[in-house]
Amino acid sequence: MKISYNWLNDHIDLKDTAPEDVAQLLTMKSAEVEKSEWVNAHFEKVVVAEVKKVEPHPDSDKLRLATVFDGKSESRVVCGAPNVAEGQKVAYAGTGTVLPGNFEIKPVKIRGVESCGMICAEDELGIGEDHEGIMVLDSTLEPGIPLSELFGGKDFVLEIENKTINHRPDLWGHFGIARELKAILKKPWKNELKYRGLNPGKTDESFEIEISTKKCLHYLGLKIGNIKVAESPKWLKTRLQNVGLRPINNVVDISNFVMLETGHPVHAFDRSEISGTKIIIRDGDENEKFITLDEIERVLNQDDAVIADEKKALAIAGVMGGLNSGVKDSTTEIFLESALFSPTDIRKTANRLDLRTDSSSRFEKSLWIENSYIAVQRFVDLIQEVIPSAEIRSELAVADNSEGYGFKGNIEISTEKIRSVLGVEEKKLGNLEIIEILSSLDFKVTENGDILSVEIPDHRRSKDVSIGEDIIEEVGRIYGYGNIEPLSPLFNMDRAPINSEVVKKEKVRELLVKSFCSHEVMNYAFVKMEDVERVPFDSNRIVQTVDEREAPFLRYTMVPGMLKNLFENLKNYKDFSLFEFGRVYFDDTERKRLAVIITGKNARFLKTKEILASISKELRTPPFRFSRIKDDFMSGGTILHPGRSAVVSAIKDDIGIIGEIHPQLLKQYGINVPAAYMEIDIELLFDLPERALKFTQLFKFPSTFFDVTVIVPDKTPSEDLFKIIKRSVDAKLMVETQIVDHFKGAPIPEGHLSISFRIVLNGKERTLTANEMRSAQQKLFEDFRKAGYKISGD
Amino acid sequence: MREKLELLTKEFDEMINAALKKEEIENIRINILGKKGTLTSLMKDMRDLSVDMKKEVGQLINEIKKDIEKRISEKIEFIKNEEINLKLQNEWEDISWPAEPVQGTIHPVSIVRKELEELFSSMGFEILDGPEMENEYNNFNALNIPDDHPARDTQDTFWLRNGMLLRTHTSPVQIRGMAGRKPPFKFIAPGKTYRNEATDACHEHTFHQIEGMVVDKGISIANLIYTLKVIVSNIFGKEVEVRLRPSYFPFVEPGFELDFRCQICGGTGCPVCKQTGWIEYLGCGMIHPEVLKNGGIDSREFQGFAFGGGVERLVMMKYGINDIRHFHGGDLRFLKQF
Repeated sequence: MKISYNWLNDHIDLKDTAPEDVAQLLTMKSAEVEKSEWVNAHFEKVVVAEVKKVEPHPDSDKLRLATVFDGKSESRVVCGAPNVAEGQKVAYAGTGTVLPGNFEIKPVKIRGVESCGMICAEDELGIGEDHEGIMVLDSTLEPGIPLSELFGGKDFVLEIENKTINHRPDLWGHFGIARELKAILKKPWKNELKYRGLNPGKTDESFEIEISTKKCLHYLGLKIGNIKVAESPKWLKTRLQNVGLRPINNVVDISNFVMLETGHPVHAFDRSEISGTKIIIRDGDENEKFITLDEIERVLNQDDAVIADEKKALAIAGVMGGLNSGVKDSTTEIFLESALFSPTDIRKTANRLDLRTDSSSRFEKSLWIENSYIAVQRFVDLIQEVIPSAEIRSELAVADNSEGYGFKGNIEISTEKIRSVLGVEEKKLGNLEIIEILSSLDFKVTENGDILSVEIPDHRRSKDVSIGEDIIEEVGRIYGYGNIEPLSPLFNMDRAPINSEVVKKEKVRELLVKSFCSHEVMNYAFVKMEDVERVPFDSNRIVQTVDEREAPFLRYTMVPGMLKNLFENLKNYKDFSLFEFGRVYFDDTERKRLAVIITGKNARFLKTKEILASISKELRTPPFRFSRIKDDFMSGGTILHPGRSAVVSAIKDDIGIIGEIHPQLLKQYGINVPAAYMEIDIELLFDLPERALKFTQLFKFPSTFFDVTVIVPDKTPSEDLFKIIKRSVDAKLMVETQIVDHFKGAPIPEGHLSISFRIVLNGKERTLTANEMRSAQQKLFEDFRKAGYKISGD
Repeated sequence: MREKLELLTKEFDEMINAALKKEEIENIRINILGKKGTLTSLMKDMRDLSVDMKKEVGQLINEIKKDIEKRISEKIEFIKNEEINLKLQNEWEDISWPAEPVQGTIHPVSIVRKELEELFSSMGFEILDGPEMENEYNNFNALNIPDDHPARDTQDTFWLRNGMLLRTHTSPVQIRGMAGRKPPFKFIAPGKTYRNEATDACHEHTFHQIEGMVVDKGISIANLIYTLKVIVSNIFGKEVEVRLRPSYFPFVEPGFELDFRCQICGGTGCPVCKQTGWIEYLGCGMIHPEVLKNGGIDSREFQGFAFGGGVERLVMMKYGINDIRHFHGGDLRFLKQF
C-alpha cells in the first residue's frame, strides 16, 4: 500500500520530521516500509516556456533548433520532435533537472550544436505514455511557472509491505498511519477525522435497508443530489496519482480518496438505476449472473453477498459494483453506500471470483463499524467541496446486524506484567509512561494501583487487540524495542538431552562421504504417475495431494528420485555414488529412510553389503542378516535384480533392501549402465541396540594358519562352506576364517568355482604343534569331502 | 720384505682408487687378502724371518691388513651410496599430475543445518524433529491460526487426500515439543517444510526451516533479543547488529521480525538488502498464551519466546548461491562444490 507523506501531513504536523525519518519510524514501530521514493520532484524544476524561434539544424534533417524563453532567459535546445513550433508553450527542463528514471539534463552537443536543456514529452515527465512529440501546454500560461503549479508539488511516497499490516485493519488508510505517527512523535492531531453528524437539507426520499444475510454486519445509505460529474480538481488527481490510482471522475475519485484516507471503502451508485427505495443485502442466488464494473459477467452463488434493489443485484457486496448502477457522466443523483461486511465471506468471494479489489482486501481485514460513519462524513464534506451544488437528499439509512462482532470489554493488566514481558525495569519504563503511550494510541486507561484497566478504541477492537499481550505489544513498540537492553536468560546447569538420531545420522553421513565417496542429494517428496506405474504399490496406501498437479503422489520409496538423479548426472559423470536422507509417506504414517545409489565400477551387490557392514561397525549394531527378497518387501522385487539383491534384517525386523537395480527399471528411467542401490529404514536402524565395546586380550603365542581350497558348484552359498568349517574346527582353537582367493575358469571345471579359505588357529596358552595343525587340516578336508565338495588337488 | 709390502700397499692404493664396482673390490680383496692373496703369501713368507723381524714385520703386516680391510669396506659403502644416489636420480614422480579428493560431499543445506545444530546444542538447546505429514490441528489450530486464515488456503498449503497436510512450517514441533516437556526447556526443530507455490530462482515449494522455543519463568523480550543476537553473531562468526521490528504471526504476541545488518554492503544499501541495509531474517516473538495453553503450559506461571527462519536463505548468502532450485536439483556439478 502506498502512503503519501503530503497526505499524512494533512492530519499530523510533520514539518519537523523528514520523510525518510517517517519511513524509518514506521518500520521500527508500526509497519514495514519496504520502499520509499520522491515523486514529482522534477515538477518544481521543469517550467513553462515559450518557443520563440525554430530553425533547421545545420547537420540534420530531423533535428531542429528551438529557442525557448523560460520567463528569465532564452536558451537554444536541439529538438527532435516533429510537432515543435514557434509560439507554443512547452514544458522545459533546464540543465541540472533530474527527470524520472534518474535522468539528469546536462549540456550536450548534438551533431555539433550545443543544446541547453530539453523540451519534454509526456512520458519523459512521468505523466503519460505519449512520446510522439513534445507536450504542448495551454497557450495562456505564463513562461516561468513551474509545472508543480499545474501537476502538484513533490511528494514522498512510502510503500508499506501489506503483509505486515494484515492484522491491523486501522492501518489501511492515511488517517490510521497518521494516528501511529501521532503516538510515535507525541504530537496532537492537526486534523482529526470524526463523525459529526449530517445535516440533510430538503430530503425528497427515504430509504429502507434490509439485511437478510450474515455476511453483512452494518449498512449505511445516503442519497446525494445535484451532482455534476466532471474531471476532478488538480489536488485530488495528484493525491490519487501519487499513490498509484488513476483519476476517473470527481465522484469516483472522491470515493477512492475516502477509502485511501479512512481505510474504509465506500461505493456510489447512480440513484436513477436503483428501482424503488428499498436496498436489500442478501445472499447471492445459485448461478446468479451479474456483470461487474469491469464488464465481466460473474456467476454467483450462496456464498456471496449482493447489494440489490427489489428487482436486481446492484453490486457484489464488498468486492465490486455492477456495470448497471455505476456513476456515469450523466449521473445527477447518487446513493452512497458505506457498509461493513464479514471478512471471511468477502475473502472467499474475492478468491473464488479471482477479483481482489482495494475494497475486498480492506473488508477482509475486519473493519470497524464506527469507521463507516467517518467515511460517510468525509465523503459528504469532500463532495460538497468539489461540487458545491451537491446536497444531501435523504436521512442516513442505517441497518445493523453486528451482534457479537469484535472484542467488547476492557483488558486488565498489571504494569509489572508489562515490564516483565518486555524485560525492562521500572526506572526506565514507569507506570506513567506506560499510560502515556497507551493514551497516545487512543486507549483509555484507568489506574487501579498497579493494575491498569484498558478500554480498547473502536479501531482496534474489531480484530487485533483482545488480550493483555496485545497491550504489551502496544507499549513495547512505541517505547521502542531498540531501547530494550538485551539480557541473557538465567540458565540451569542441566545438559540438554542428546538426540541420538541426529548423532547417528551425522555418523552415517560422514561415513558415506568419507569412505564411499558418496554425494548427498535432496529430492522432492512428490512423484508422478509414471513413477507410480514403474514401481507399483498398494494404491490404498499411497498419499496424494488434494489439488491436481504434475506430481501429485507422495513417494513411498526413494528410488524414483535417485534414478532421476542418476540419469541426469550420467550426462556429465560415469563413476559416482549419491545418497539421500529423506522420508517416504504412507496413508497412515511416514518413515525416515536412507537411500544410496552407485554407478560405475562399484555398481555391484557386494559394495552395498560393504556399506552396510561399515554402517554396522560405525553404529555398533547387532549383526545384520541377509536373505533373498520375499513378499516384495519395500518394493524390492520391482526395484532390484532378483539374483543380486537381499533383504537386510537385524534382530527381528527387516530394515531395508540392498542390491543391483533391476535392468528393466533402469531402462524405464533411460539408464543403460548398471547401478547398485540400497534403501534402509533409518528409524529401525537407529533404534537397534548398541553393542558395548569390550577389549579382547591379545594372544600370548603367535597364531598359525592353514589354507584349504575347495571346488564347489556355482551358486553354492559361501555361508554353507563357513558352516562346515565352523563345525569341523575345534572352537577352542579357532581364531578366524578368511577367504583369501576365489577363482573361476580353467583348470576349474565348467560350472564350478574354487574358493580358498585360510583358517587361523591359536592354542591360547601354548603354540600349536605341527601335528595338531595337520590333523585339523585333514579333518576339515574330510568334512568337506563328506559334504560332497572337492578339495583342490584331490 | 719391507719393499714388497710397500709395493703391495702402493698397488692396492692404485687398484682401490680405480675400482668402480663391488665385484672389482671383491677381486682386489681376494687378490690381496684371499687364501692365495699377495698379503697372505707374504705372511706365509714370514716363517723365514728372524724372531725380531717376525715381530716387527708381523706388526706391520697386521696394520696393513687392517688398513686394507677398512679401506675396502669404506669403498664398498661409498659405492653402495653411489648406487642409491644413482637410483634416486632415476626415480621421479610427476608432481604436477592431478589428484582428485577421495571423498564425497555433504549437501550444503546439511552443512549449514549441522552448524546451526551444533551452535544451538552448545547453548543447551535440545534438537527435536517432527513429521512432515502433519495434521491440521498441530499445523494451524494449536498455533492459534484461525479457521479462515489465508495460510490455510490450498494456494498455500499442500492438503492431502488422507486428511493430512504437508507442514507449512516447523512450528507444529512447538506443539509436539511442549506436550512432552515441563518448563524450563529450550529446543530447536530444523526440518523440511512445504508451501504450495510456483518455483522460481527465489521460491521453492520444498525448503527448510529452523524453529526454536525457550520457556521458563520470567522469560522476556530482553532475553529474546540477547539470545538471537548471540545466534546471529555466531552464524557470521562476528558481532552483527540486529534489530527487532513489530510484525504479526498468530502464534506469538508480541511478534517481531528480526533483521540483521546486510553483510554484503555493511548497511549502506545494495541489491541483496533491497537498498535498506538490513536483511530480514527470522520471525519471532513471545509465545501466545493460547499456544502455551495448547501445549499444556500455564501461561500465568511461564513465559517464553519462539523463533523461526528459513535455512536456504542462509546457505545462499553464505555460499553466494543465486538460485534456490539448485538445492533439490541433484546436480553433481553443484553438489561437488561443497
